[in-house]
Amino acid sequence: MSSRSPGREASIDVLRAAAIALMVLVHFVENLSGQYGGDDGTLPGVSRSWWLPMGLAAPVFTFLSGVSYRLLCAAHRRRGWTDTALSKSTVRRGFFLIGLGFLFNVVVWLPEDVFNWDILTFIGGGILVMEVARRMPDGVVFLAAALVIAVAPAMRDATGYAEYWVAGSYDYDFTLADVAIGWLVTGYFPIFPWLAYPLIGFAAAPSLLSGSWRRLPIGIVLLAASAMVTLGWSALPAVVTGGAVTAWTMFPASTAYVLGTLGATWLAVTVMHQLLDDGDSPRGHWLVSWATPLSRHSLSMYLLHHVAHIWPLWAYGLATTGDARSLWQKAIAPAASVALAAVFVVAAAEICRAADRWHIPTAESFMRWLCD
Amino acid sequence: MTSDPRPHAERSHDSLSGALPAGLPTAAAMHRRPLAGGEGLDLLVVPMESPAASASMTIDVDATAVTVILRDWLTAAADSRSAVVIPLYDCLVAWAPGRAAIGGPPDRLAALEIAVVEFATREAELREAERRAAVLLEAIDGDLATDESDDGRAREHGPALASRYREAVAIGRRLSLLASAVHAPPVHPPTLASQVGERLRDRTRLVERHELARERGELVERVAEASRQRALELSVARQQMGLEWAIVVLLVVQTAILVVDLLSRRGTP
Repeated sequence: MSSRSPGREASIDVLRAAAIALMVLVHFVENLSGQYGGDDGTLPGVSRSWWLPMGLAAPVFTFLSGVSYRLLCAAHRRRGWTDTALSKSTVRRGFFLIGLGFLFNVVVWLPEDVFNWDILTFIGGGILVMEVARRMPDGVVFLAAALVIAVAPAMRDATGYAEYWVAGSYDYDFTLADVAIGWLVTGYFPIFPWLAYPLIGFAAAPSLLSGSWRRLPIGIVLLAASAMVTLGWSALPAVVTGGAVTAWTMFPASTAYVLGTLGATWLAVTVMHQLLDDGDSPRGHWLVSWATPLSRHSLSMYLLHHVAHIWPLWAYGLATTGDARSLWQKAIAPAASVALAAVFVVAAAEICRAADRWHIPTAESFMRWLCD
Repeated sequence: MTSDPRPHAERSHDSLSGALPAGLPTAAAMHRRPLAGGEGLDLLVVPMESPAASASMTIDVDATAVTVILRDWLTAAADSRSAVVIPLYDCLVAWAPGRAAIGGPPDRLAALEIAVVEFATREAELREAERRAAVLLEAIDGDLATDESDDGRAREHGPALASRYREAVAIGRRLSLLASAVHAPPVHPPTLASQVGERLRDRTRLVERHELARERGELVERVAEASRQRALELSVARQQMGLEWAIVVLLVVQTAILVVDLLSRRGTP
């Protein structure tokens, strides 16, 4: 751990690397095998309970974007950055990620999905919001996050969320209304309620990384609240459930899902911080050395893993059937997808290590060059 | 040198900071007196015969030798510039911070001891006030920086500023209490003890030091009060800002709900 940058938290690196690994697994399995051997149109996350932990990847990733932004602000202040310089860098980073997100959608998901509001455009927007949030007292940021969670179901109910989703995929019209509603409510990662994750991560970072177990019960309370909402789901009005039949869904991110994943992420950050961030702990050494490169290049790995499995899928579909999307979710068996995902994660760790060793330009280095 | 100094030695309290210096009469003794602020005074008592009582020795010769010994003993533990030696009416008084010595006929030692301990007590109090004021002066730069810094730093420094203000007031109070003793007029008719006290006060510039310490204390108190007031204002401003931001957040969320409602109605006939 001697090569770690000052102020870099080992626990954050390990959790972000774990989130990336989970995300790779989820995307490989769902994009290559989601409907393999059947035509019921259901994704693994919907139909199999053992697939439930996979739903943690995006919440952890977005929560950590808030925590990391707080650490980044502190690091820049220590280096003597002015408030204006920090604002400019933040806004540039936000727009860079939004632009990269649109480019990624066009290049990977093909132009018709440019406004699907995936996680990159969401995190870019989240960074722009955090530029405002960093000027607010932490209590107000928590209030904003609570409001975002609270009004999201009512918004889904008002917009008719289910009408935008066909066979587990987001389907929208190229109209200003649909695009705007998609960004706010109905897309893959809309502002309501996903903005709560980076906001809470940002506001809670000082407490979570204070080296104390005192905040641990908050995670337990969030999990308990999620369980209560799940148990009482059928009795709740539509303004609370958003018209959804199932209590725990990721698309849309139901209130039970948001509370549960927030609680789990809160507990994970607290526990990992206690275990790994004491500086001399041999327990975490190998884990940290493996995770740090992957975490440092998480953006590049997010882009690369899509290219690695989606482009061959489109190319093979186009070559065999003339329709690029014909094999989506039906290409290979789930076991083969899991194996491919594992191979990719191992290869990705080595690629990240090589990028560090040989100073190979990555998406992160380009972002820093452009925005800092 | 026939007088027994036991009554002084028996009043010894704490452990002494050193052994008796060599070359002193065998009847010499040392004991420790507690002073203000937990400080102690090592008091060396050296009984000496007057010329009238002993024809075999002259006080001038003995006093010179003893003066050298006592000065060396004092400067061994303190800065030589702060050591003061005062010969007065067949007696000898030597003082430095933390150490003092008195020499003279046994019947005058008690009066000398009272005068020296009283002076040492005042001087220790003044020195402690000077030290605390100097520490606060060092912190003034930080306080001024806090005045111009952001809200977060002022929040961190708030308790320290309040503590500093209390400390400045405590120093001012202590110096005020000390003023009557430091500025006391000469006693009339003069006594041996009063003259020793006055000469020690003059030689150690106690009055000037007291004036300077008061000025420093007032400066520190003024700055600490201003900084504390500024921190308080920042705290109030922070609370107001929290309320304002909460209203902004509520308005933004309300606007978002309105926008979503309007957009979702566009498609319906």
